[in-house]
Amino acid sequence: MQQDFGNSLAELASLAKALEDFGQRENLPPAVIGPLNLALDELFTNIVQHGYPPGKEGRIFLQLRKNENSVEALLQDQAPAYNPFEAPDPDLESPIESRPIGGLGVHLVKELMDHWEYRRDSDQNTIILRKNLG
Amino acid sequence: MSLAKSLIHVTYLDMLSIEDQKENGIWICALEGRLDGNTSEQADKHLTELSGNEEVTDLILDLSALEYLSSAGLRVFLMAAKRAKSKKHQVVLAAPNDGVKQVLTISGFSSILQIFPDRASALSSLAS
Repeated sequence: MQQDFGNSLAELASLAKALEDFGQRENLPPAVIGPLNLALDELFTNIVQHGYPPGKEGRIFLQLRKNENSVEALLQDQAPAYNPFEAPDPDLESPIESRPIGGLGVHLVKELMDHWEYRRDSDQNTIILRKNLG
Repeated sequence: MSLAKSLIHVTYLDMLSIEDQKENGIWICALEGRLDGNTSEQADKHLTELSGNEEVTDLILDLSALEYLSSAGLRVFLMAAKRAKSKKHQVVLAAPNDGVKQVLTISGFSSILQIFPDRASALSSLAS
């Protein structure tokens, strides 16, 4: 399946719907679709909030594919080059008063997915995620 | 035992509803739906206003009807916990579903926020 989304947080609902439909069609359990939805949500939100300049229209492309032993997602945008996986690891241990706010999104992606990679090709940011089945 | 009294029920963007309740003198915020980048700003505003109410001391966030939580929602919880902490109060979480609990755990939130399996155990812990 493939779908274009607008550069807006309101599209997170469409993203969730696309994942749900894909999961039903391919008969995938919630334990696969749930984490995949969350990982894509985090990366999508980053693109909307930090990728495209404020007020600039842009598109975000998603492709989902079921392989024999995994589900693969490809996410592409035309915002300035940015590799989210190079962000520093978040602080998960400080007490409430000094715990920094933020940095958790990419951490969740890395924890929930079995594979992640970033490429800049033909003026596009390309992210590939993989979640193993079973 | 006083009955739960529904005080305010607000729905944001058709995706998230928040109901403020008070039970046995303890304030509870029941979240229903999706707490993500699309709804987190409204949720943060709601909880900020609630914490400005001098009647509100400790707060239970009842997550039993929260279907989905992303890092944008974690940020809202952390801000609420920081505000409470600065007034020597606390925010605790109750009844997250398995997916929400997983997000809380891998984000290291179980070490800063108490998580109770249900509302009753959160209430009895705060009452004692």
